[in-house]
Amino acid sequence: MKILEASNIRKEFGTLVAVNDVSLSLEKGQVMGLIGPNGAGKTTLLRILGTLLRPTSGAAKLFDYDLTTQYLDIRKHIGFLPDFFNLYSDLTLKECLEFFARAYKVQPELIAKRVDEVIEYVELQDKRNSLIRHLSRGMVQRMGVGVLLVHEPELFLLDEPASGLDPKARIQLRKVLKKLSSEGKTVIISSHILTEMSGFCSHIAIMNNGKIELSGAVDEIEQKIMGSRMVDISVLSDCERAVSLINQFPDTRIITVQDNTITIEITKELEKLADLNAYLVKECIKVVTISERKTNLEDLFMKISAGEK
Amino acid sequence: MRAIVTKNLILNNPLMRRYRCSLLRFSQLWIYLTIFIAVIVLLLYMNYSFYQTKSDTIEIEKFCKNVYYQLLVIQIVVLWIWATINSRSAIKNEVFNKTYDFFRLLPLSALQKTAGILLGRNLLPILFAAINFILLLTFGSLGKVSSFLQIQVILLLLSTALFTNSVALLLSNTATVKKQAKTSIFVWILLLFLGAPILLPSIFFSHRAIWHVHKIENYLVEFYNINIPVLLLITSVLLYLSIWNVIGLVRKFTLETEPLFSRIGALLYLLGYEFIAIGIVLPHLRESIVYLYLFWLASLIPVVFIPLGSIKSFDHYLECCGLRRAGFHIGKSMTSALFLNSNLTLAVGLFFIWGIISAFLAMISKAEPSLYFFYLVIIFSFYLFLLLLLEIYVVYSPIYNKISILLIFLTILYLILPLLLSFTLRIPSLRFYSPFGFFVHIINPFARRDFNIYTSVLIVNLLLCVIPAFLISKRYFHILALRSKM
Repeated sequence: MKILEASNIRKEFGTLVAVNDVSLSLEKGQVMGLIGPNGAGKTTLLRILGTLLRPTSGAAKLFDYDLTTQYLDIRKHIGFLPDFFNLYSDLTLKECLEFFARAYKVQPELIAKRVDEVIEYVELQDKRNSLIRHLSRGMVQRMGVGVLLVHEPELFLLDEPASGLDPKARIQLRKVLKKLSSEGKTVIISSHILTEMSGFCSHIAIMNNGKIELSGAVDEIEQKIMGSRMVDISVLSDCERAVSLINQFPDTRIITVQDNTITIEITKELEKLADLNAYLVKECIKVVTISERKTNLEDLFMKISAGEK
Repeated sequence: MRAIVTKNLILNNPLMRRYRCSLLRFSQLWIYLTIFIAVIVLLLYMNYSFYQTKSDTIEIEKFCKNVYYQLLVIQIVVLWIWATINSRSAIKNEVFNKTYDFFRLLPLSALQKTAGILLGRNLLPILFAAINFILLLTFGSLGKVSSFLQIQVILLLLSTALFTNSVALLLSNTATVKKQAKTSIFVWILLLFLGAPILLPSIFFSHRAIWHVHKIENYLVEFYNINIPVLLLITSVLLYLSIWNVIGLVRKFTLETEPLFSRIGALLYLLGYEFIAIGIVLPHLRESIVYLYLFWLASLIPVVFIPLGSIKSFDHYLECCGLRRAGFHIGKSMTSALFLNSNLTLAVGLFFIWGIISAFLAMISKAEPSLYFFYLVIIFSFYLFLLLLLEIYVVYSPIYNKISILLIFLTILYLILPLLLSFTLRIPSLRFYSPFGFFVHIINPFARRDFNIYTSVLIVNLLLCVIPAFLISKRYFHILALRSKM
């Protein structure tokens, strides 16, 4: 089921084109990572999809509602977490969640249950009656996700949810986000910190200068732009000779050598890798392990931004 | 129907609950209650002491009447000042506390948001005002203040409160609030120490000033030949303005980036305003020509301010041309889109309506037609120049972000310089080149009417308009060119 279908979305601020004819689509249950450097247009695009900004031109449908004319209907179905946000600091966690539940018209008899579930979900049970102003930044950030969860939106739009958090808070938030992903929620999450997105994005869209350079399923994109595979070869001894042998082997390139581990880039065909292994063994190199390094979003992004397609 | 509205807007409004939770928390409520009770007790004690020292027996009626008027002052402070300050800060606080995005996204109707803020944010003032109303009615009845006056006063209090609060919320309802000037606690303490010795006696003695309010009870004004109590007329006018404020708020909460008035809204507002202004002056129009001038002055206010409330930005211009280009309005060119959306078109249209109404009233007042036609044309030339300065701001502010300072300087110069030169060079006719000077001249019944000077004022104004008009047209062409390339 299509949740989002956007075509040629454009946003201009005076003469600056912040989002340049972006087209995007999203199916139910997909988790899309919107990645790109600062100023790429991620926040503007998310704010447009979140109905907070009107596009200058272009059309988009969210849950079959038109983005520019039916934005009040769309708002009932989305949960938008802005990049710099705060919650009502003069309310307690419980009061805050009840407020949002009522505003989003959760059935009155279900509100108490929903609030309890959400507090448990974001693991803030012991703070339920604390004023929000007494929470740490990380807790507020988790509560932010909680506020969205209270009305069970069909689409989550999360704009740099981990920015400004310390490592511990980042890990805790990541846990919550992973939970969302594993429960099959539809999410668009933006970040310029790629490690934040690894592991739970099923799709990515890479933005640069207001344009989406590339988008699709992570595997597909990896396939598309990573023509070769990265392999770590650990040898017991004779590392220098192993390096010189690998250098002579066709379609292979050494990336790094650290201790007795050589990281190489080799063409995608598995046969080539098997040949290299046989060659090294034949040359009496004691190979301990050969393991393929999983490509992460960071590798993909660096490849794209360096124009190495 | 009324029950549903009350339920949705007030009782079941989540914003009301949200404010109730934070504002009526006992940990802070008791502080406000203590202060309020202390003020009331102090007031009663001071009045009691005052009357006791004057005579051995207290005249209950006088005592109660006095307290009634003092409570009225407190009510004004609570509803017109305290509540208005609260309404003014509502959206600013949301922006400053970074909760505004959540607020905007709440799937509540714009009317619910408006009511939620106006009532919810003011729960404390409303609570105290409600208690004060009970006291007012009690002391008013004991002091034999007529019921009709009491009703009029209550209506006036409420309509003014609605007006001031809705204006305050409109002024605060902007997404561009960047920072909040927080008054230091020390400043508040200083104000309290300096203010208390002045404030309490002022409230106590205020009865002297408003003691005469009762005289107003039977004062009637003619409105289209119908006699209406003056307080009721003021209440009605304020309600009319408040309704437009609420419409503006609903528009702001729904469309957010759009100007306060739609094109049709601007016209309707002007027509309604003119209807009221005509109603007030019409019965007196034949008595004196001064009423015509008063009408001109009063009815020109919206013609000047509506364009400000309907102002479209450079981005809007780009957007409306873009929509045309994208084929949303096939058959209409970008140039016509720009023309229709231009701030100048609306403002000139409004002036045209005002001109027709003014000319019509001038005819009723049997004024000299050629003279008043000339006046209208000259007033238009003043208006046009100021309008062009405003449009320069709109189209050039994306390039020169400080251009507003230069334009304000030019406006002040335009308004004041001819008066100053007239005074320093001792050339009286120079003052006609300022809108202020010209208005004073036409209001003055003894002034000599000189068509030569009027013509030169008109020519100077038109010449002054040339450069701004050229600059604006350049920018308009730039918009069209830019949009064609995009």
